[in-house]
Amino acid sequence: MSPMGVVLGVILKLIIMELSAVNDFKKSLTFNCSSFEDFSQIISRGLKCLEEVESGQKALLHAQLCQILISSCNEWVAYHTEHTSLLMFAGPVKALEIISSSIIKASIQGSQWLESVVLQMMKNGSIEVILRDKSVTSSPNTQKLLINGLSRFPDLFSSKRGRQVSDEFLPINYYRRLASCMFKSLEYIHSTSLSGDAEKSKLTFLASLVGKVSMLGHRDSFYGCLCPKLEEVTKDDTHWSSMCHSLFMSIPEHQMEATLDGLMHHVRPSLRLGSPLWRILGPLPLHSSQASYLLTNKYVIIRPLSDPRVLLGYLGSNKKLHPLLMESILLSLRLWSDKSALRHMTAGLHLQITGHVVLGMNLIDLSLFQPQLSELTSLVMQGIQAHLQSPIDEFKYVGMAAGEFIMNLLHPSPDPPSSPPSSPPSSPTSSSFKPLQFSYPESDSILWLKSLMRPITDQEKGLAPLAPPAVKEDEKPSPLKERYGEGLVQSTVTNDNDSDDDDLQPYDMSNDRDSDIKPPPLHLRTAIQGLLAKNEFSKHVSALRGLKNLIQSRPADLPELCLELAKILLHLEDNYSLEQEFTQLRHDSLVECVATCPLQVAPYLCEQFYSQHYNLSQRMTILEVLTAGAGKLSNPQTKKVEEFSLKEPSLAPGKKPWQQIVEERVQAKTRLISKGSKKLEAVPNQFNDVCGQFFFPLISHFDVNKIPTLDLQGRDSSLLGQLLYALGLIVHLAVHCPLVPLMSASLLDFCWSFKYHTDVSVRQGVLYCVSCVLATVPPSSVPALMEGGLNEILLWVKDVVANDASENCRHLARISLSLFSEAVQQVASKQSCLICYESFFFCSNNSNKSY
Amino acid sequence: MSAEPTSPSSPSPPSPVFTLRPRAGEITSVRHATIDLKESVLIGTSTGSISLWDIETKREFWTHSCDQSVLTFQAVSSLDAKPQDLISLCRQGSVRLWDVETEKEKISFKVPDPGFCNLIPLSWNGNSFAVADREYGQVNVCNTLDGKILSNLKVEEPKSRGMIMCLRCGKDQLVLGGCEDGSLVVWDGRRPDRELSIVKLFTESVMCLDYHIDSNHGVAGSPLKTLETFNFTQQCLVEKKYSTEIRNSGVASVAIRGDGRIMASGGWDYRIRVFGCKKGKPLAVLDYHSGTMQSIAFTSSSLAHYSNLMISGSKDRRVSLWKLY
Repeated sequence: MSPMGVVLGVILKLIIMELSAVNDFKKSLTFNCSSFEDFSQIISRGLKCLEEVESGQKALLHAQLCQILISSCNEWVAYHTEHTSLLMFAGPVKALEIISSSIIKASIQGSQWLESVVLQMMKNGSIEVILRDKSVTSSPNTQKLLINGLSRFPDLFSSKRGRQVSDEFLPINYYRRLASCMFKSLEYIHSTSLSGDAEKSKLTFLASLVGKVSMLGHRDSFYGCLCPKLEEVTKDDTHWSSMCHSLFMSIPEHQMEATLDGLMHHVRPSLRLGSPLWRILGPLPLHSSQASYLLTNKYVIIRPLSDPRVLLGYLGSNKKLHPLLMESILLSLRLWSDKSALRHMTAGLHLQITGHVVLGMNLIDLSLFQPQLSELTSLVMQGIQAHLQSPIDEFKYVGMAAGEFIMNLLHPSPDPPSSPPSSPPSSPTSSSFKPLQFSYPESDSILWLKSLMRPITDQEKGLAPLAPPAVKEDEKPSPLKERYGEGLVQSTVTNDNDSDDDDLQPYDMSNDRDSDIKPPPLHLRTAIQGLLAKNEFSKHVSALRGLKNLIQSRPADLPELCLELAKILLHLEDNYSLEQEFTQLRHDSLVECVATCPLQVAPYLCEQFYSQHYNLSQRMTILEVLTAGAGKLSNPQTKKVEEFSLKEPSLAPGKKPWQQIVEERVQAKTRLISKGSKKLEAVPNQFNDVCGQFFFPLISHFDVNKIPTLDLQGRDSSLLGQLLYALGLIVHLAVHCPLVPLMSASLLDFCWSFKYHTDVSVRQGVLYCVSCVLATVPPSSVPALMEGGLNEILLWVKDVVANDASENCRHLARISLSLFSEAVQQVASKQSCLICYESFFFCSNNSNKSY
Repeated sequence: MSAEPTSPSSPSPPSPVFTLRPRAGEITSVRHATIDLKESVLIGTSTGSISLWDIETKREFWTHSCDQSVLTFQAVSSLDAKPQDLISLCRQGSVRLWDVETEKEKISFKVPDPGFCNLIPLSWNGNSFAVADREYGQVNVCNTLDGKILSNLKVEEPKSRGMIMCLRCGKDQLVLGGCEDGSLVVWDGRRPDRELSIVKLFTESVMCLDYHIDSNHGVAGSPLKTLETFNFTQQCLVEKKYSTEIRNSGVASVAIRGDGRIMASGGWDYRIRVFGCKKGKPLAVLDYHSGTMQSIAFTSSSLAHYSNLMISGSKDRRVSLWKLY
């Protein structure tokens, strides 16, 4: 035996004599243990000594030992479960008591240890046992400690360990677990069917725990778990109900509000007799003044529940509670008709109180109110008047709807009211024979009120004191419908023992239209059929919508069909008024067509531009499509078009091609220090090969065949401007292409004849072309262009800068000049050609003159 | 629809409370499970990715990839002491078992699956599941550990019944299957060699079916314009209950809520329809998605807040959560 053990034995004996000597033991624990073995021995020795100690002092000593362990706990304790046995020495209740009382003094490791102990107790059912059995036998002080601990463990642990507290002790998880523990212990109590007193004392303990948890505000997770279970079990078991009744009746008064809050918000609303809340609470308000105040006053007018069906369903579910129901309705009605109260209410509160009044009146058997009918009528009249005078529209409309409903309920239209109401002058119907009728807009709140006004069907025959109110005129009271409400007659019914569907109010189903959904076409030929389809909207539209993606997927028959497709698209008309969408879709598809098959489609479009039977917008579309297609081709990103192919199911899992295996091995053994700079891959400009197809047909057909429908020089000059713009852009997009000098030369040549055109847009087009040429041509070919006519054009440009009437033109001209000077500087820096200098000086001299 | 109870005062249909957008693929399967105390949505997609989403935080917290489009992805009771594993079935018939904690694939094997039918873990035998066979009218009960076929459930006239399109668990050891010819077959797992009862529901094939054990209520959908409901008699024979008309043909998914009050069907017309279970009263038409509603499920949680949510997964790559009734 180690000297430590001896020391401990001595100390323990000392403790027995003098309990204050515990401090020495603590010292021995913290200072003298140099190894884990030492420590373990001390503990086991301690346990042995404890067993030897006489029973009177055993408990006290054990508690003190544990407290020392907890407060001076280091990793030796925390990670060794055998020490849990010391804690559990005197049973789970004692252990929980010690944990609850000493957790505040615990070290961080100690609390981690305790956390695991508590979790273990919850998982192996010790907590249930404590809740149902052991707690009762213990002293009030212990009970208090247990309740304190159980209801606050998440707080206690998180205050020690902060964010490191385990997920299990997050409030949401912990209280769910606690609720299920509590339910299990209730189940046990239920199954053992004890005598009244024993059961009651157990339930009292549970009740104070429920109350405490509610007070601490973790109602959502706790009741969210407990309520559905209680609802379920009380459905057809009166023993369960009576257990629940006595459970909630033993909740202390000061915790009643918190408890009822939790219940009210989580119980399923129902207007049936024996509503879930009645099954759980029973005649609670008749026994507890606090509950009665809450249910008839606070939840009615001070802090109404969002769903009035919960409270009214409860109060209406048993005859015993009917006086309370009447009281609450009268109270809310008085407040509703009070003019000054109305002035000080928020809109939300007002709506809730109105809802309570409306549903209450709808629910209650009006014969009960017979003696007070005249008083009620005058109250309602007052209320209506107060609401009509209210300056706030919302109040006014809600008041109208509610007043109309209640008055017609109190005085059903066929028979006159028993006492003539003291009708205020502002009331639109002073005649008491006519039903009251206002007109007001249907807002959300009115709709909500209307849903409360729905006649409540007589659901349990014979037992039902809730008489349904007068049937509305528009409903023909067929016997079947009256009994089961709406929604039944329409479907074939086999079992009619339950009418559950009726308390489900349908939503508006006007959005249930015939489906116009057609999947996008999978093949080009079906798409073409769809485009040509007459009077088949969905087919046409789905073809149009799916066409772009279809072309992008590059089906095999695209080259042979692209011309036909372009032709159809060009002639397509917006027959279904898709407007913006149509234009966009057609444009996109045509662009895709040009970009995928430029060799066929581009010359065709160029040719069509000059042919006879097109209108202006179609020609405009052609130009737009050509430029957009050219842009798409010259953009290097278009390279990444996925090949359309059905992915072959890959090799069987587990078998990989050898390259992949090698690559994986290399990857696994390669250490990457940095990712390195991203390499940009050079992509050939796809437009270069085909730019001629876009450019030359468009320019060469210009004055080949004159047609009567196209007068570019005259009335269609805006199209000419667009044409020039398109040509300029095409040249620019073909940058670095060997054809550029040739294209530039012919473009300048083409422009020459339009430079004094009267239309501004044409002159702008010319200037744009000049700028494009200057920005695109390689500097080396500038001299050649100078000879070929650029000189003269530049002179004209200078003239534009000086004299043109249009500000835009002058601006564009300035840009052209600056581009020119840049080009010349580049040439000059290479010193390649003298002519350039000369011409440049010649030009600038001229321009100086002109300024 | 024969009689629409739409009065002018009925409220407009609700919007989803949240929409999840998984990164990859069209949604093929959604399920709910409580995993690690987290209320989770299990999502399988056509690109083979499977993921778990926390309903509370609306975030993905677990994701993996299979090689083929996922047909089923759901939780099963674990083979170890742990509460549960995940099981996935892909279009090529590969079944995988996933361990949630270690985030690893545990077991993987192939079954002769036709490529469209789902898989159901059998509750009466923790280590087995039922999955359709490529043979006509045949369902295999396989071992979860290695995929070994334990028994075959067969029908009397397999040729005329066609393949099994969808499966569900019934009470005790009953297995329900929807056939290609539109009939509903019920087997008793203890007597596999022939069916217990068969009833013709549709003239077209059964596309989807669900059965709620507690309320003894089942529902099935087909490419036609009706939903058929059924229940079991005392002798475990199926009988038709009522049928409900829907406006547009094609039902891709059906589900009954855990409390047995409402059921929902997802159509080829991109809409979700909600009905009362008792009488088939139409309650709502939810027009939100822009793709076929491939899968619908309801949550059942001990937390009231997360219970009875409807989860709908669509071909438009979105999963939406709804709060109804």
